[in-house]
Amino acid sequence: MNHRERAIAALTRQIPDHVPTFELEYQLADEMFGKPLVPPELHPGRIEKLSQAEKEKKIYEMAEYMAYVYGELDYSIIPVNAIGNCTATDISPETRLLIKDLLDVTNHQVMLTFHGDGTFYIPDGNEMYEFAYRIADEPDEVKAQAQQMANNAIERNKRLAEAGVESLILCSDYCYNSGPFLSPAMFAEFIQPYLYQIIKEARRNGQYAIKHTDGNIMPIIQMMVDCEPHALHSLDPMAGVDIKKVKELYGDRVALCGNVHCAALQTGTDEEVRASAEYCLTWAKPGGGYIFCTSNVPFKGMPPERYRMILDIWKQMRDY
Amino acid sequence: MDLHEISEKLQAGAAKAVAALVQQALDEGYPAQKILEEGLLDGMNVIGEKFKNNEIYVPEVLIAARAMNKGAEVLKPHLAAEGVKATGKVCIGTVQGDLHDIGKNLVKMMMEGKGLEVVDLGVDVAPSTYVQCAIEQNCSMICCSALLTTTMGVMADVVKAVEEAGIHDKVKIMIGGAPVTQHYCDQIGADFYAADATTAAEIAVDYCAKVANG
Repeated sequence: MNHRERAIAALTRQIPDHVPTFELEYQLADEMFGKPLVPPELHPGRIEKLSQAEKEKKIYEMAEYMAYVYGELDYSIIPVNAIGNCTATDISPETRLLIKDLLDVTNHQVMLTFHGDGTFYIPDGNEMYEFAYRIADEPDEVKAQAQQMANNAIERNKRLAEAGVESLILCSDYCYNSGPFLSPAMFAEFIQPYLYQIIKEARRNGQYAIKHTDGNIMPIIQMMVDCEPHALHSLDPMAGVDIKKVKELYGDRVALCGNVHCAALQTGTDEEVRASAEYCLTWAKPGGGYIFCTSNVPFKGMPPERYRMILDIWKQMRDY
Repeated sequence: MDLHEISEKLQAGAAKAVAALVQQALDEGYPAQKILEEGLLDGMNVIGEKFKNNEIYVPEVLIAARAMNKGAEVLKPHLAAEGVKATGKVCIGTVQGDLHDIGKNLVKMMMEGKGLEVVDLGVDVAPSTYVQCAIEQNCSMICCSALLTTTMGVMADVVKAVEEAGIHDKVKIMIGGAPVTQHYCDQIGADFYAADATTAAEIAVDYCAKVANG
């Protein structure tokens, strides 16, 4: 099986040759491979100064480096970075070129993924007050906004599908460690219908939808599963989400990704890290439908040797 | 009128109705303190308990708190005229290097809902700022919030700064936030750990009551 086939098998709850792995984002390229994934020349403020030829060269080099890094990590799904000015309804020409180059460099043997959510997420700071008040004072306007956001996401996801992006990571966070931001009733009103639309249209485009959220999802997991994503991501153990339990309850309806304890990776003992990785593989792997990954991302500050440790455990236990 | 009606409207987040009912109660001659305790604080206590038990969620707390503030605006001059004082005074902030304020704001709301006066230092608060505030504003407690494992270490610096200022016997330190634990609290020598906003408010009220009673 190549990486793409392996990812598809897992996302469709089949049994691949071995459990695939990937991350929503990989922030340790500097530490583990010597330089960041996105070269400084392609950052906002600098990319505009490049000629077309220089831009194309830099983007191709970036694609080559990404293919190298993710190849070394043995990822089956590559998260594509947005470069240039992506809008609410379309990706930038530069991102489109990066996607093309990545597909060429990897010989179409890896699945590409990109952010595709368009649902409300937990607002920050003062926005939270405003959002809560609007829900109470003008619910119809909030729903109209939710519909517009979903329409935009659907439009952009279609463009992504045309460009060759086969899967979407839907990363609007809904939950704290203690539980959802919105009550289940509010979730049903202001998020679920729009999440369902986005996923339904993604499926129509032939895309695979991976729904991510941090936190304790258990009070709303049924509603999320009812939106029919191919997979749920994060399954945050820091919030008490137990992948064994989720597999028992929903393993016949949705594939699972994650649950390897990110806080332990940063501050826990080696034994705790090992135990978490082994637990996930022990309980989520059987029967297929599992993609091994951390409960968030390998973030800056995580000791690289810890991340290598869980990849080693994955390699030891991944085969079916 | 029944003051419990204020409590119920507050729980429902009906800000305008709460303000109107508070005014009505004042017009009917109820003492401001009685309206505060049996109307506004009673409502927020119910909200706090329900939030603690996951029966209601953050937006419902925010909407209830808005209703409480509307009622309090009407009540405030009358409380001052009656000489009613807050049940205690604390300062709160998210520690230096950390810009997350959701948890901190919830704790503040719950504390105010229990009649405490809360000095909000905002986010990214240096240890010396907590100490300075506690001294200048005569706070009984410093409350520190952190969301990140990378910033919770600043809480130890706050404890150290309080010790160095020689005020730890008078000013207690409470810590909380997603990565924080009782074990960590004990380890750094903080006085209280709160696992959630409602518990934090209860701890602060209890401690301030002890201070007030000598």
